[in-house]
Amino acid sequence: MPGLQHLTLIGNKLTNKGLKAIHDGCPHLESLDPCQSYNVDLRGDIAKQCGWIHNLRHPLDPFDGYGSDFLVEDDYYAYSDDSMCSDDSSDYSYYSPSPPPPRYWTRGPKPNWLELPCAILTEILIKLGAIEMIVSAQKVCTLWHDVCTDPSTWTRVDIRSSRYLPNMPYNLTKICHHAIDLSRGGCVDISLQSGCQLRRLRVMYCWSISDEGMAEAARTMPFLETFEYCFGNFDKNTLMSIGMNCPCLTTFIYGKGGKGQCIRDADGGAFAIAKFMPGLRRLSLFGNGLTNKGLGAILDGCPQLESLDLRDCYNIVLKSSDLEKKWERIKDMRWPQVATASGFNGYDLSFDPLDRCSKYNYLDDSSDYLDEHSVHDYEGNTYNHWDFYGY
Amino acid sequence: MSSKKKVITLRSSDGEIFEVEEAVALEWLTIKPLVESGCTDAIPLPQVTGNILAKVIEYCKKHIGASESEDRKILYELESWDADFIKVDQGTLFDLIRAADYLTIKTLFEFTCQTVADTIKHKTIEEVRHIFRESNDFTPEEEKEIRGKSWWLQGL
Repeated sequence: MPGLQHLTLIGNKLTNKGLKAIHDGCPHLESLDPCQSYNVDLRGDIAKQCGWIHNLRHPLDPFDGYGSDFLVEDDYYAYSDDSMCSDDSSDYSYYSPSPPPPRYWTRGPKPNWLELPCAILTEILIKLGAIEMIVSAQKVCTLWHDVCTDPSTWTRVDIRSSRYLPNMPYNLTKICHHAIDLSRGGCVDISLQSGCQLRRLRVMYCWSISDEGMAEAARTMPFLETFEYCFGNFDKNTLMSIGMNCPCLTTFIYGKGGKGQCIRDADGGAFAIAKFMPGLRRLSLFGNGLTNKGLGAILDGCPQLESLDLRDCYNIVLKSSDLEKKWERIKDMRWPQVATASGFNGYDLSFDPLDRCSKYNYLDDSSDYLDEHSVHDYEGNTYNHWDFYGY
Repeated sequence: MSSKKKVITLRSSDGEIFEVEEAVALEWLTIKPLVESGCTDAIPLPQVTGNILAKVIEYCKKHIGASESEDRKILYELESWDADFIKVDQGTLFDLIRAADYLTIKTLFEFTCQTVADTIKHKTIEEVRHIFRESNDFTPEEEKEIRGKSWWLQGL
C-alpha cells in the first residue's frame, strides 16, 4: 500500500524492523499511530527516520478510542531534557520516555502538597495502582512511604498498568503477594486488568471468593486452559459461566476436600461441567458430593476426558454396569475409596503448594493471610499463570 | 413547580456570591442537608475562594445529568470537556481537590485525584519529588532497606 497517508496500528506486534519497512514502503505517510504496539521502540535511529511524519504517536500513548483524531497536544509532548536525569532512572528505564508535566501545570505559584490531608494523599496514591505504589511512590519520602505501607491503603489491590507490563523487570506475582502482605489480611478486592492472556489460574483456600466475582473474572480469561480451584465451592451457574467463557479449558481441578461433604447441588455442578466444558481432558472432583447421575453426565458430556479424579466422592456407587462402560476409556482414573493420605492435605495435587514457602520465604509467617472477598478482572499480560492462596 | 428553578445562594471565603440551581447543590453532600432544610440565606463556604468556587460550579453544572447519560456522543464530549477543564496550574488543581473534598463532591474529587495520579504516573522518583517539592527525608538506613525490597521484587 505505497500510497498510504494515514496508518493506525493499534496493538500490533510489529517491531522496529516492520516499522522501517513501512517507512521505506510508504513515502506519503503523514500520520502514524503505533498505539499499544509495544514492540516498537521509537528511540534512536528510527525516530530520525520517522521524523518527516507529521503526526507520530508513541506506542505507549493512551489509546483513546478508534475514533480518535491524530492531534497531539504540543504542551504535553514537548519533552524537556532536564526531566529525565535521575539517580533512580535505572529503575524506570522501561517507562521511557516519560513526558514532563504539561506547561500549564507549572504556571502560577506552587502549592505545598505536603499540606494535603493524608486521606486525600492516600486517594491519589491508590489511583497510581499497586505497581507504582510499591516500586516508586513509597520511595519518594517518609510520608508517602507511610501511606503506601499502611494496611488501610491496601483494602483494594489494583494491579493495573498493563501498558508498561511487557517490559517490566518486576515479578508481578511477588508484587501481588507483597501488596496482599501489606494489607495485613484486610484485602477485599483485587483487580487485574482485562485483555487477559492468562492460561493457568490456581485458587486455593479462598473461601470467600463470591460466585459473582468468579463469574465476572471468568469473562476476562478467554484463554484459560487450566483452572485449579481447591477447597472452596461454587454454584452451578458459576461453573456454567466458567465453561462458557473459557472455551480452551482442558484441565479443571475442582476439589472441595474434606471428608464430610457439604452437598450444594452437587449434581447440578456436575451437569454444568458436562454441558459447558466439553473440551476437558483432565478433571478432578475430589471431595465432591456428586452421584452416579452427575458422573454419567460428565462421562457423556466430556468425550475427550483422559483423567478423572473422584477421590472422596462417596456418593458414587461403583457397582454400576452403565457407568463401567463409560469410564473404560479413561486412562487415569482415581476411585473414591483410594487412600488420600499422601500429599497436601491428603491430596496429591499436580503441584506442591508447600513448595511456595521456600520460593517466597517472605510468606513464612502465614498467620495473616488474606481473604479475597471478590476477584475482578484477572489478567496475565506477560505472565501466564496466577496463584492465589487464601490461607 | 418552583422547585425546578429553585436557586441556592453560596458565599465564598472572599465574599463573592454565587447562585446555583438546587439540583447542583444537592450533589454537594456537605451542604445537602442545609439545602434540603430549605435554607434561603447565602450558605457560607469559608474554605473555598471565589475563583475556585466558580470552577467547581462550572464542573458540576456541566456534569449534572450528563454523567449518567448513556449516549456515547455525550459522554465523549463530556470527556473532552473535562480534559480542557482540568488544564490548570498546580495551585488551582490543589485548591480544586481541597474544595471537592470539603464540599464532598465525589465526581470532582475522583477526577482531580486521578489527574494528579496521572501526572505522577510513570515518573522517576526524582521527578516526582521535583513536581511535589517533596524532599528525600529517608535516613540512609531506611533508604537501603527500601531499595533492598525493590531488588527482591525483581527477578522471577
